[in-house]
Parts: sequence; structure tokens; C-alpha cells
Amino acid sequence: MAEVKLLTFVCNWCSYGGADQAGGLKIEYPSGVRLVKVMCSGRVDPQLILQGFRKGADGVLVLGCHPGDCHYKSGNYSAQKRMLLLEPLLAQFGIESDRFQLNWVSAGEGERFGKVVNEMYNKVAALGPLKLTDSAVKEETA
Amino acid sequence: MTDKVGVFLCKCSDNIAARVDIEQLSAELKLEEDVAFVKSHELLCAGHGQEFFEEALKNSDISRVVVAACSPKDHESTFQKCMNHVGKNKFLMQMANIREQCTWVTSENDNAYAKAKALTRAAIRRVKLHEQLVEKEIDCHTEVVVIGGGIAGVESALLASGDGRKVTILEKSPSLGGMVTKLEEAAPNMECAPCMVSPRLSLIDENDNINVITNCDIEEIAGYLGNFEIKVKKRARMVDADACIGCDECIQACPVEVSSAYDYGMSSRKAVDVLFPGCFPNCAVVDTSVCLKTTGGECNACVEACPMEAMDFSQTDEIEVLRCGAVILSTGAEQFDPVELSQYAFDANALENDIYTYSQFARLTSNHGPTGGSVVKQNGEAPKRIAFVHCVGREQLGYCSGSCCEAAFGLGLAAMSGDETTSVVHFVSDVMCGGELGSMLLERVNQKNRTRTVDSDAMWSKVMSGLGSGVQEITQPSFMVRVDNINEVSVTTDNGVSAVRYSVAGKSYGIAADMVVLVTGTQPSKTSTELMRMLDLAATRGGFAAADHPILRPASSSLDGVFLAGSVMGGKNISESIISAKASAGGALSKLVPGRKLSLKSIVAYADEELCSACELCVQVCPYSAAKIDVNRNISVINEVLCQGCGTCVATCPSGAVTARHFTDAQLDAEISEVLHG
Repeated sequence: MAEVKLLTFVCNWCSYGGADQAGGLKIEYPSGVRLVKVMCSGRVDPQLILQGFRKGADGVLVLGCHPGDCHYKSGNYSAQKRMLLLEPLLAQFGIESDRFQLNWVSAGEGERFGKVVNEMYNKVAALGPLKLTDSAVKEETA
Repeated sequence: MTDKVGVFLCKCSDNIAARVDIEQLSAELKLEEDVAFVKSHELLCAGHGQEFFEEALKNSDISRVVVAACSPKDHESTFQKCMNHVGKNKFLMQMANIREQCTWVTSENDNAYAKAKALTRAAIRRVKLHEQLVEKEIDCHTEVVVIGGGIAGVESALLASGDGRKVTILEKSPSLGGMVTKLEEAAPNMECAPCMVSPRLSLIDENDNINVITNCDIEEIAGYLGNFEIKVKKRARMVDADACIGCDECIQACPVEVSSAYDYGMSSRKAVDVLFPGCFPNCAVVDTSVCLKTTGGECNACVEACPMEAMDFSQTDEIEVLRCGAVILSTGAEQFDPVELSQYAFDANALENDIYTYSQFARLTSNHGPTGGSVVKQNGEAPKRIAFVHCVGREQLGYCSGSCCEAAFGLGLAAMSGDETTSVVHFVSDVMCGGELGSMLLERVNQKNRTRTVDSDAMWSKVMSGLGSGVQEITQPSFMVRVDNINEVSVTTDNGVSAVRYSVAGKSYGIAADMVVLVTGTQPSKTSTELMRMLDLAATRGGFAAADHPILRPASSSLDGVFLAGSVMGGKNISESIISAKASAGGALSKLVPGRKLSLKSIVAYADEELCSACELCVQVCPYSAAKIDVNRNISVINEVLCQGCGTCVATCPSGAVTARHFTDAQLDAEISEVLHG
């Protein structure tokens, strides 16, 4: 399988802690998984996701707190609503739906973190590197 | 001052260095245009590591720093403190997590190296765009206002005033004390309720730091932690509270008798009265809606009777505005009204037929209740069998209130302290009466019941025959009957004797009882609901004030600075109410310290006046009600005291008007670009 980059947004309270726990448990995952921390998954603007694809991500994963467990009460629900709107938009840019996912990982779920990123990475790797057509990039940046 | 970045690489003994060649990484990063220096250390978090870090920055013109090491969850605060020690802004330090996210989870060394480099470079690009955030402090009020003067409000006020802090209690009714004053013996240990409450009210009286305003309504309440404003309407009492000594002369003289709401219509009171004997403040109050003098009639009886010349009919309602730093909401709850359900025969004739709610029944056990503490029927006779029907309203409310079982078992026990022939049967489904004290209470009710023998005279037989087939006559009753479906238990009544129908193991039964007590669930009070609306507090599914976090922050509301005490959060027994009251007082005390300013979070959002179009989307998504539209300027203003920095408003704003400090679009863009590179 091809070497790909999976940009993974993690929230400060749950999924970042899940990633730390995966580290503590030495759960291996591909080095192409790259994390960016935000305070809450609710901060993840669709623009940031598109920016990720434009800057070289072959897949984007957003990991928030489980529904009902958001540190900020409802930020993850806002994220969920927003991502539902983003998904059909990605297709218009020629980005396959398997290249994007919103999921939940708690701070105590190191193993789940490993499972979610490995599965997502394998999905994206199976699709291979993302080839954004110039026009798609231009259209988006215009 | 250079704009270049000082980079520290931690080897974390071998945790990082075994997988990533730190010397090579250091050499490569040194070549970066933005980098002033790269220094590596065996263990940067250790004492000698921190000294090394501070030494390298002390007297240097470096202001921006990257630490590539472990998770910031482990040591961000360590290096932020070091930044402070050497006079640098702590927000100009960014960590790259090259241990948990890299060397510990990556199998190939080459890959780990490439990733460590990318993460460190991303941190360098990011920190270049960091702002020197200031940790702001603002003035705040440290006074506490307690709304609701029941046992929860009283206890929170006593604790909150302990260190000399000014506390005001606002109470709707003319006296403090609340629901507990209506009880004689409080479950689970059947302790004398007035004996517990009276000394607490005396402490309030003696405490110069506690200001009590009774007989008042809240007209407006708004604000946030450190800065609340409350507009209170003090209803005219028509009695000079300083002059009144609570001697009852006015009450004796008053010719107007009306039904007592305190006794749930089971007794009468006068137009001028005290709420209950020994109330606090011990001062009469005129009900201006029924008083002859205030309703246009001619009467001066109380004025003439008062030996203290305390009656003052020139009083009018007054408005007072209070300012405080924290609010403790202890406005309690109400009981479900069984009048809505026809199955319990709780109609206009219910009292006549000796069918009571358990709140009413509690008054029969009280020494200052309508029967002077004797549990007797309306005809004055002692009851032979009292049937307690539990879970009334549970299906309609949609939840178990959690506190009624215990109270009902307590009342059942109190009811058997009089006549030796009285027995008690509880119809239950789930029994919520746990813990050591709860279990002991159940044992006591059961034991007491075993000594009773039911008298099966003609009256019972008549009821039994009226019930038809399948009717069971209990001669030696178990005190508790676990029925198939508590919602299907029904009550019919005939000639002063009621029949309770139920089924057990699929078979229908019925028993006769000459007193029926409906154990009603707890629902949000109208006062609580109205205050929650004014403060925009989050509610539970049942409409009670919701805890900010049901497990971690059970006494904090969704609005910082508003704490919750007692059954405003849902049914609670007395000790649970007091625990939450003390937790609330503790929350208020620790957040607001006299002489100290309120420290604000630095990582918060702000809206740009020029770009904002007041579309209100940020207002809708903010989980903390921090975003509000300033109607005069027609822009959104994010309150930096309330904002918790989640950034949801930033992602929502269609005009890009909102910025999250420390997580700006530019900072995240820079990090995203670099983290994907290499």
C-alpha cells in the first residue's frame, strides 16, 4: 500500500488524551498519521479540513469526545452537524467520501484511538495518494 | 529582540533518542531560517533540565520557544512556568509531542525521524504566529446571594458567610425554613425536624453577615461569575418587622379566616398571620389579597390589638437592586398534583374520603399541623389501615424522583406511633430507600407492622364484598406489597372506606383502607423554572436545573457563578440537599476571594466589530451563553468571563469575524501545512 498522510484533528480533552494513552500503551500506527490539536472538535471549521486536503493530506479524520461527553457540553454536536454538510461538498472537489471521517475517542480509549486511526489510515492508503485537480484547488481558493 | 525561535529537543533518556537521532535532527533544524538555536538535553523536565532551559533563555533576546518532547499534558505547564521565571510570555512556547505521538507508536526509525522533524517544524511555524497573550484580571463582587431560604439555602448561607463574607438570602414566603418545617420527624433516622431547623435559623438571626429578605419576588436577574445584578421586589408586609415581637395578638383579633396553603387546605389561617409557630423572622404578615382593610373594607382590628404599634398599612412594595459575585439557587421543587389522574379518586371530595397526598399527610404528623400531630381521619377517629400508594405521577413525569420512598416510609412509621391498631401497607414497585439508614428505616416499619392485627369487622366486609371477586383480605399484613405495575394501582372509595386495587404475579387483588396516602413525585417548581429562564440555565429532561456535569460538577449550573443547592436539581432528601448546599457554598467561596481579582482565561474567542453582521449564529452555538448581541452596536460581543475557549463559534461564524485566541486560523493553517510536510 502506498504511503499516505492522514491529518487527524484531536480535541484537547478527549481524543488528544486517547492519543497520549495509545502512546503510553505503545500501540503502533503508521507515521503518516499526523495530529493537530484544537480545544474542541467544534472548532474544526470545514475550511480547515479543505486546507488539510490542499496542503497534502490524503485523508482527514476528526476525533471528538463521545456524544454526551463533550468537555464543552455541545461542541462535538456542532462538529457533527457541520461535518454532515461538508461530506457532499467533498465529492464536488473529487474527494472520495472514504477520505474523511468524524469519530469519537475518549481520553481513556488508547486502544480505540489506535484502532480508529489504523482503520482509517488503511482505508485512505487503499485509495492511494489524493490527486486534487488544479481546477478543484483553484476553484476552492478563488 | 529577534523573531527567531529557540528550539529544545528532549531525549527523554532513551524514550525519544533511541528512535530519533537527536544530533542529526538538531543539525538539520539549525539550518532552518526561523531557528535561532537548537539545544538538546537528556531529560528536559528534570530539575537540571529546567535549569538548562532557563539558562539558555535568560538574558537572551529569544522570545519564541519550541520544546520537542513528551505530551503537553505532561509538561506544558512545567515549561510555561520556566518561561515565566525568565520573564518570557508563556504563550510563546509551543510543544511538539514527539514521544507519545511519534517514538512510542512508530515502528521504523526512519519514519519516526521524519515525523519528529515534521512535528517540530510545525511547532516552529506555529509559534512564530503566536500572540503574547495577557492573563487578565478583573474586579469582581465577592458577595453571595442565596435564592430560596429552605434548608439548602439556609445551610449554604451559613457556610458561605463563615469567613465574614456578606450573604443575602431571598425568600418568597414570609419565613425561612422551607419544606422541612412542615415535618415532625425526618426520615431516614426519624429525627425531630423542628429541633434540627430551629437552631439553624437562630444562627442566621445571630449572623451579622447574613441579610435576610423574605416575602419577596425576583423581578430580574442577569450577569455572570463575579458580576450579577438582581432586582428584588419586597412585597409590603404591612407590619413593621423591627417592632413586631410575634405575640399573636393581631392574629387573634383578625376576623378574616381563609384556607391555609401551608397546610394544603387542611386548616384555616387569618388574613394577618405567621407562617408557622417559631418561624423566622418571627413577624406577622398581612395577606393583602384577603385583608378587609386592604381590599376596601372597614376593619382596624389588628391595628387596635397590636401592643407594639407594629401594624403599618402605609407600607408599599419596594424595589431593591442587589449586586453579587455568585448566586446559589435553592428554590426547591413542587409535588406532582394527582388531581390530573382519575385513578386515585383524588377529586374535590378527596379529603372528606381521607385520601391525601403525602405532603398533606406529613402535616397530620406535625405538632403544629391541623390535627396537632394526631394521625386521625377527618371524623377524628384513628385509622385502622393506611395504604401508601407509591410512584404517583412517575409515569407522567418520566422519572423516579428518588426521594419519596424514604419520606413515605418515614411517614408510615410516624403514623403508627399513635393508635396501637393502626397498620400501614405500602404499594411499591422499585424501592429507593438504600444505604444503612434507609435499610434500618425499612426494618423499623416492618417490625412495627408485625405487632398489629387487623380487625376485620363488618365495615371491612362490606367494602370487600363491594370489590367483587379476587379480593384479598389481609389479616396479618406485610408492610410492603410489590405490585406488578405500580401505574395500574387504583383507588375507589365508598362511605369513608377506600379500596386499593392492584395485581401481583398476574392476579388481581384489592384491600380496604380507611386512609389512603398518595406518594407523589417531585417536579420543577414554577419559581425555579422562571429563574432558570431568566438566567438561561440548562435544564434536565424533566425540567430541573441541570448540573454543569452530573458527576464532576454536580452543584454547578451551566452558567459559571450560579450554583445549585437542594431539590432545584430534582428530588433530594434533607442530607442530600445539605451536601449540595455546602458544595455550592464551597464553589462560590473558592471562586471569589475578597481582595483578589478574578483571573480570566487567556484562550478565549473575540468577535471583530467590523466583520460581524450580528447574525446570531455564534449566540446559538455557544454552550456557555457567552456570545450575546449588543443591540445598540448591532454586533456580537463574547463575554470573556463566560467564554471557555472551545472555538465552536469560530467555526460557525460565516463572516470570519470570530477569532479563537491561541487557535487562530493562521496558526492552525501553518501547523497543518507543516505537519503534513515530510
